[in-house]
Amino acid sequence: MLTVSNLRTHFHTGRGIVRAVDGVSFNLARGRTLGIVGESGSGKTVLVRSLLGLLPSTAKFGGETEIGFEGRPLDIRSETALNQVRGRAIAMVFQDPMTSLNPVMTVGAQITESLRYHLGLTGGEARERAVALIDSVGIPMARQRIDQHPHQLSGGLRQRVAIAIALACEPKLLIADEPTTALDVTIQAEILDLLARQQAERDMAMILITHDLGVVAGRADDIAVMYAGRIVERAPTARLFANMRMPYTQALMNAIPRLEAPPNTPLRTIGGRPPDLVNPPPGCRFAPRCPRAESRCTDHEPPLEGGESGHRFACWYPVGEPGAA
Amino acid sequence: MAKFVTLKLLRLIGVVFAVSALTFVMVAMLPADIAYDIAGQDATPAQIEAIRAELGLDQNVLVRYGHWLMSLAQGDMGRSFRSDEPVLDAIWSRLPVTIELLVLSQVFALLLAIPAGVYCAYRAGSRFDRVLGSTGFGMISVPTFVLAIVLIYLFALRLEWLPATGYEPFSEGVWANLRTFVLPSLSIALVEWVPLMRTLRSDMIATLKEDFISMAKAKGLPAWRILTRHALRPSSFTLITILGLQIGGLIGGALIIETIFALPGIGRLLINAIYARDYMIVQGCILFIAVGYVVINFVVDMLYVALDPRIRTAGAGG
Amino acid sequence: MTARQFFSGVLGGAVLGTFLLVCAGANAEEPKRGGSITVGLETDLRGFDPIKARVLGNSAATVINVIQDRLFDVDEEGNLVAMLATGAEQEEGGTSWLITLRTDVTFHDGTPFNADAVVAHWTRILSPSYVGGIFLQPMEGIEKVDEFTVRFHLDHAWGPFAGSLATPIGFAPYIPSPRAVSDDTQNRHPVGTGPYMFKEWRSGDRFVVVANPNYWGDDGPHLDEITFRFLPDQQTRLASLQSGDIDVMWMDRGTTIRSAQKDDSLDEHDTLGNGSLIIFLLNGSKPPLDDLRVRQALSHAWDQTLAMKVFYRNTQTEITHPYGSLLDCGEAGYRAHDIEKAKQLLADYGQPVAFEMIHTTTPRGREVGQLMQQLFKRVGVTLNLKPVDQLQLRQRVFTNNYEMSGWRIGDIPDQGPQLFGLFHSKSGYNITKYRAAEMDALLEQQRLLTDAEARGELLCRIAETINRDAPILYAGGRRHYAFTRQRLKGLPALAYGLIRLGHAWVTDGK
Ligand SMILES: Nc1ncnc2c1ncn2[C@@H]1O[C@H](COP(=O)(O)OP(=O)(O)O)[C@@H](O)[C@H]1O
Ligand code: SF4
Ligand SMILES: [Mg+2]
Repeated sequence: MLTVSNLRTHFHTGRGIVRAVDGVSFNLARGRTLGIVGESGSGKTVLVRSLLGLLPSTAKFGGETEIGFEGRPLDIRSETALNQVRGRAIAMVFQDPMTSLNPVMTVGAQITESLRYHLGLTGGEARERAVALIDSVGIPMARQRIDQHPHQLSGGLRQRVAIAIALACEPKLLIADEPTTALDVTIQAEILDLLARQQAERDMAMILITHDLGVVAGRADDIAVMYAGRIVERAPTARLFANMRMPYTQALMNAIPRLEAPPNTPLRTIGGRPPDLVNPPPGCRFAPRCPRAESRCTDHEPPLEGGESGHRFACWYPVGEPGAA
Repeated sequence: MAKFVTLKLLRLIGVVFAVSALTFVMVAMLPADIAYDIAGQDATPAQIEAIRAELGLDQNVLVRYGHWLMSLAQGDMGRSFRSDEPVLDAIWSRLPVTIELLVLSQVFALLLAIPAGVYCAYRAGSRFDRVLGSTGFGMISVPTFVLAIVLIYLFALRLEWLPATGYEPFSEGVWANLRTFVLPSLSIALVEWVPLMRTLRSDMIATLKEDFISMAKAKGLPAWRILTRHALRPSSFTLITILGLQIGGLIGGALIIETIFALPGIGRLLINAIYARDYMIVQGCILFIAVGYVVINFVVDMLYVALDPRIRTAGAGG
Repeated sequence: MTARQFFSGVLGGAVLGTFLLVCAGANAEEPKRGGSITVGLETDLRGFDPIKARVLGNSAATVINVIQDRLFDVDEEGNLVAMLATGAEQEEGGTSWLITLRTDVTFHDGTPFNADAVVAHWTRILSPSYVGGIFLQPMEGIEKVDEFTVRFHLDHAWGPFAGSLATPIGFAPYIPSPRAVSDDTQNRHPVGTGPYMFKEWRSGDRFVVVANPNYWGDDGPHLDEITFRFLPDQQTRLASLQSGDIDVMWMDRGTTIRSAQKDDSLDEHDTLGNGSLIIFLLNGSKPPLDDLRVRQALSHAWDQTLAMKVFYRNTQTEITHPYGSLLDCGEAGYRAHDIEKAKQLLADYGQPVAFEMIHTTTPRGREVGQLMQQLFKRVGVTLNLKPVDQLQLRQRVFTNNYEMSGWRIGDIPDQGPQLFGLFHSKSGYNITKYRAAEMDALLEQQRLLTDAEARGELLCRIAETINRDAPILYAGGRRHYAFTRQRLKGLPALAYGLIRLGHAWVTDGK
């Protein structure tokens, strides 16, 4: 239902052109969940915000960029075109519920707003729907909560409200951009379960973004791994976990905190820092940090190509194959 | 809430006390006194001394201030030395004029500033934004009286739509009354909308970067609705502060406009009284201005509370 | 005859009833009854009780003039015109005057006008509590002779007596209702016998009067209502006149007068008065101004012609004496602008001359100071300028704490009392500290003289002495200007700077 082809989102800044998303393509089918994983700064947020036109005016899209949604092209450069899908067909949940809710509007007003605008409901109807929505995202005492302001709610409740807002108009695609990153660990799972349940109930497609491979492990049908504005590995979830080929994906894997590890084991993080997107390194962008890098890696860029059964990766010396040395 | 009001009231009394004592001393320190005004140019030094004795001006400042305070405590603000008019009457008759001028000028200023500020923030850096920015800069550097004269020339003399000067009270009809306030209020508004527009614009630009604005966009709401429903209120805190300051400054400071347009407001009363050293009137005006300031402060605080629910609950909790 | 008809009728002992109203009939058109006008005044009013309000400014005079009547009126040539009095006769060589009163007049509040009303008013005026009394010094008291006759007692025969009863400027001549005075309401709710009655006074905004249906006179009131509005800014006052918001305004600024003259929809009224809008006091008690040669040198350094252009755009004329239209004294020995003479006198004095002038902080004040400074610099005199506010200027002049200062000479029917005040060595008002036995003698003599012609000659000699000893410098006389909308008719000459609306009417009345 969603086809993204050669998405390039570049920011024209004083420092130069920031190639935040640099040639990303993928497809997403109805009812499926795509997990997008990558370190902070790899372009996940810019990618999804591009789809909804939620970027500042310094963002420019590449000429070959084409987006299709439900069989029709979607012009992401046009506010009018975007407003046809925003809120109705595609909805979004943001990372930080502390900042994504309007502090001066009641919870109810923020939910009923889209109901009234898109569905033309009257005040009373919208309010009833809002109560039902709040109830359905697991907030107790919905009738009281509806008249409260965001600052009167905890972070977890706020994110539930944000989800309720996103679900209000029954979207076909829900984008959740790190919906649990800002939340207390104890409630992260609850929120993710809520999203999964709603997705199943409403038969929505979902893009679930995270920097933590562990989060998407049981919840996504497919996983795309992003690095420096590009997708570097892509596979059905089970496949990926069974056979990860990119050294970067593996590094991400190793960075997942493990419950079975003895306490005080230092987390294995990836050495080095993500590259400067104004002047990305030549060849493979991961090369400066890659333990398997060879001279070929810096000379030639590896294409995103396939192994079997839809497993694609961009690496000259994939894990599980002997290196050049 | 009761505690809040009591606190404000106590502060008001303190402010009034300090301000009135200070003005009393300052007026007393000015060279010459009301006797020279009262006596006119055709008086002898002996007569001036006689007037001074009659009015008690030969007494010590502190004694006079004491008398004034005592009378005030009994609810008597005294009479003008000059016209013998009771101070309270003089102020009471001018207060509606001053208040109407304040309110209308700020309403006009907001009518200009809000749409302009919102639009400039929405299209920051656009041609419109830059043109408006430099227009605002130009307008703020035009002295009010020049603007006033230009407006009179255009609307009173050329187009003959509005009267050049004068004041009609509400009792003469709403339109008759409003007509006399349009040009004076515009003269003030055309200068004062600029800082309002600028603060709104810059606060709004900051607000528009907020996540909740992206959220509103993601809901598929049209731009105007996002700007007015989502962005305006959280962007208007500094605006309210500036508005409060401007109104405060205008209570006694609309002098030039009141003089040019012959509006019988507090500013003109005060300045004439200062020139004449008519300290009973001066004290009365200062008293009202001080109260006005405190009231405006209070209103501004209340507006913050109305605009920002976060303050409301904090207040309710404490 | 150098002096014009200077109260000759009165002084000859004739009955005043024979004097004709000068302004009535001057207008060929028949006045229409009805309608209303708005008058633009510069300042709010202080009040109408002479003892409480103390000073009657130009704005207030315009108003009191239609509410309260005087015993006599006086035209711009000094001719007396009967009002509430029917005759005046001098007795005992001019040391007392018998005044007979009209018998058919009632105040707006129903109080009858009679000798008691006149006596009550003048008794207050001559009491020490009335400030304006300094120029009325020779008057001793007043008594009631019968219901409609009063007698004034004087120290000595006094030329300006009749003029003092008639001058339209100042509280003294305007008779208020004795009841309003004793009830203490006169100050803010004036009651008189005039063609218009008090209706409303909104402080700082307007003063409204309505026609008096029982007016004793036969020319007026023609209007239903007159609204006086207080419009402090001269430029916007003119705009209001041009836009028709007001019907008449008084002006004294050259630029405003010139632009009003260009407007065809306005009628100009101007009248030459006497006195001087600006004079400069040279304090004779402060060195170096105590030296005659220095004062004389300064009067040659001063250039009145230039000042007329700079200050007034030539809407005022140069003067050589303060009598304006009342007396023709010729050049009166005026010291014209002459740099050489000034330098010579200063060389004679032989010391550097430097002193300070105080002037008001207004634009006019600064302009005056700067011109003076430049002119004095040309003859090597250093003038330091000290801007002060209006009241401080008065204080410094009255407390003899100044060297040079701007001042003015009022426009009144008889300059005698004013000049006596300014220049007699024993006068309480001698602010120039000028002292000369010769001047004292002349001033005393003119007081006693009642023969108009002889008195006129004496006054001219006083003017010559002023020019000789230079205690003051003149900066123009007083030409009064008012502009009206064309619908407003029946305005007499602006004698003494006063806009008199008692007979006014409008073409769009009934
Ligand atoms: N408005 C912007 N202007 C310039 N650079 C930006 C802007 N927004 C994001 N970027 C850059 O784009 C890159 C990708 O950012 P982002 O999509 O937020 O990463 P992620 O969501 O994966 O953590 C980062 O290097 C960031 O600095
Ligand atoms: S291409 Fe080379 S540098 Fe890039 S990930 Fe593979 S091995 Fe590492
Ligand atoms: Mg992100």
